Amino acid sequence: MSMSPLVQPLHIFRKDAIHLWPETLISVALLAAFGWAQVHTWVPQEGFNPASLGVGFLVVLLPVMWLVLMSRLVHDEELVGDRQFWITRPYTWYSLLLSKILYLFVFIGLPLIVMQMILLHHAGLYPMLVIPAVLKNLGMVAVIFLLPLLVIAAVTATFIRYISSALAGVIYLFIVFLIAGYNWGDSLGAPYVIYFISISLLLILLAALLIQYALRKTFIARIMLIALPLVFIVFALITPVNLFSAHRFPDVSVGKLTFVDDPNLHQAEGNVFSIEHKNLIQIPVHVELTGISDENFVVVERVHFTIDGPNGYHYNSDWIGDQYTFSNDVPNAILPVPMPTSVFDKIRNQPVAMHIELGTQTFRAGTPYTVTATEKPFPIPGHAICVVAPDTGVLECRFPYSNPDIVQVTATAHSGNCANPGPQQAQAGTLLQPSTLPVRFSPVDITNTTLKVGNTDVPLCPGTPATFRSAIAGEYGRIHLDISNITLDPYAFRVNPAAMHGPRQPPPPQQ
Amino acid sequence: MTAAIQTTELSKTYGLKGQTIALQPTTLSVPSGAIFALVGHNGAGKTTIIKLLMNILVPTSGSSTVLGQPSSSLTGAAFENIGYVSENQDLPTWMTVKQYLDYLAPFYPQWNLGDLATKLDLPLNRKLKHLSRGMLMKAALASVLAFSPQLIVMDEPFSGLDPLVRDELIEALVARTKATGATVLISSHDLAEIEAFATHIGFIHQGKFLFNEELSSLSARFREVTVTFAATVTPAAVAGAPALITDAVIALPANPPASWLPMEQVGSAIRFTHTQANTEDIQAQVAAAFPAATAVQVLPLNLRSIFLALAKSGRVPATPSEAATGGAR
Repeated sequence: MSMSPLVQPLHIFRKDAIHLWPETLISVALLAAFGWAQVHTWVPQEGFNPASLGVGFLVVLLPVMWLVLMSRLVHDEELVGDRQFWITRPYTWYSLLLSKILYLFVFIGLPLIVMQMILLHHAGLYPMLVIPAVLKNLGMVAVIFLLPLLVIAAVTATFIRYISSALAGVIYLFIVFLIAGYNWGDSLGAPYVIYFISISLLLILLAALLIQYALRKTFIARIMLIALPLVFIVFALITPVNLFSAHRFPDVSVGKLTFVDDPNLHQAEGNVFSIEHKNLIQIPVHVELTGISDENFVVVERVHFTIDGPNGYHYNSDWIGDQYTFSNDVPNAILPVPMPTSVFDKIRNQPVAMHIELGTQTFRAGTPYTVTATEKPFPIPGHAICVVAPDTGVLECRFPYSNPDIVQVTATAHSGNCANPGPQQAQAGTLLQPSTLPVRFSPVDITNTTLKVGNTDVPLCPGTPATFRSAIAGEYGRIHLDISNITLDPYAFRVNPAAMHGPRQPPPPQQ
Repeated sequence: MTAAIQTTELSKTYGLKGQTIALQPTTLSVPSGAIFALVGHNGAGKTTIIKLLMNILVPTSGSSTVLGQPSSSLTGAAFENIGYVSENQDLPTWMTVKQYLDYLAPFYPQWNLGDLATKLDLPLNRKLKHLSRGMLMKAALASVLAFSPQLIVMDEPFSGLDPLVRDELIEALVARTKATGATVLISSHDLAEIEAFATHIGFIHQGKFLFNEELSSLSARFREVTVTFAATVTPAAVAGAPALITDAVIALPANPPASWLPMEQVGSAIRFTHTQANTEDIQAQVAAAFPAATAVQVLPLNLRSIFLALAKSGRVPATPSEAATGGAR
């Protein structure tokens, strides 16, 4: 009986392990060194910490070692060419592919998981509580890093070609991404598009890998890889931005939006600023959002507007990317509304009716968790821990990965310092914002922050009760604003000296 | 007898417009149990046809079957019955001979190395990269013979080997294949090395299959014919001097029989190769073409001489197998 589909991958795996043990050992050792150095960056130290240099060095060296290991692993049964011994042996392509994936999992994935669990434990966090995040991070490492490298290794025959292809691929992808972002950033940033792009990239990579392993059609697999970055341009061109935006932001209002006729926004003499390559000018519109719940804040993600002018003139804009946050404390905002210069030139001095729609997402604060801040680690929501420095009152928190995204901290602040606390002051607050890197070697995200009253830093002293609330992403909605009889020219954003788009036009004669 | 290998108009070209022809459309049949020698010069297309049969290359047109299975589907378990040895194969040279054989063994249900390693005098603990070319081919052959395949395909296995090693390999190959009844397809540009054991011969030249035939039939068909004529004797002009003997002036026939390859004059003789000696009356043909002939000598040819004659003539001889199968193209 021939080898079963389960045994053959293990047999090839064993052969690879015997052959590649030096490279594998180095890879695991570098990972261990990274973990060791990472732990030492957490130790408070005056001046330069050499461990930080080590971490920086290893963050580069580790992927390079993985590149080498990947090349050696895949090229042991290379798929390019017609001289390999294995293609006339009873290898099954899926066993071969499975053996390589198994190898990467056992000697890159598992050590990474183990190292991250140890780091979490060392940081005082609870590894077993964040296993989904550990696995998600491993999945991201596999998809963003290992899969593309595996595919490139599969379509190349030598290490030199592999490295040069990987480098050229990164540069090529970066250039195409820049071009697409520069020209069609709004389309690429439209709702859902990131999912379509991600899935397309993943499917193309998987298809190229399977075609190469199953059929050894190197030419086709290479063409697929060359075409891969064009996904950005294709989606930039075909994405129905307005359809997706209308679907993402249902007509559910989260507050009342009013126009504030702010004389400060009437620009002084100067030239209207135009984003030349897009032929856009900006109209800063001062708005106020009321009716937001105390615990919520509203993030504006997209803007859409229509203009109705004299003689039946009508303009309907696309949904354009924007970013602004409203809260009960910050109800006012000056929204930069982008407008094509051709539209602006037609109606700049005429009274028009403007209808603005804001696509929003509401974030609400989670259940408050009050705990006494101490010098010893104390738990906060998101399986994180914090400590306060007794002398400075700085709050240091350690998050496992980036979960949750944002935590609001409030406490009653004292004047003075922690050694000599003064009388109690008003509520102080701050936001803890862990980084949002999609792939992480170190699973521990450390933030250092101080509470603020207004713009003033105040210490959070040990023994002070502090309240932590995570921000929970809520529903999407749409807010409408009607502005009637507005002449846009005075509002247009201008620069001085004259350079851009022509001087301010004289006001129209009063009717 | 069923065919272990059958090709139908199988061809391979390279370039966008197919301007480089590696193999012209070829129809070929290799009977089961045969030791088929694929013969031709370097670059004639031997390796191409073998790689097409082994599904290493994709044909431009045509089709082929190996052990009844389309070549294009040969993969995985199909190779449990097919052994392939090539001078150009990239082996895992980091392994020792023992590691290599041990690694391959579990892939084959019928693996039995037996005393092959001893017979071939393989240095089991030496790495493949440290083996001589001869030893490497021995190891490769052992790794194929060990699983007793129904078909053994060998691409120039003896190229550059010293005669002793070559004979060892041939001996091992013949011994095993006789025992198992395996079919062997072996390519070579050295006729002497395959003449001793091949049962069938296929000749390929510049991507074109000229013929394939049983070796016994080929040997029976080809003869070297030497026709001798009387020399011209001119008496000496000076008394006592020897007479001047000059070669006969021979008139070549305008339309020699089709079975005669081009003739050459050697002194007062004409020499040519006859390609249908087993079916045609040579003496009668010569008598009709050369009435002045004084003697006719007919000698058998070895394989090398047959191919030299064919190569010199550039002719595609009509063969019995062509008549039967529609011709090897």
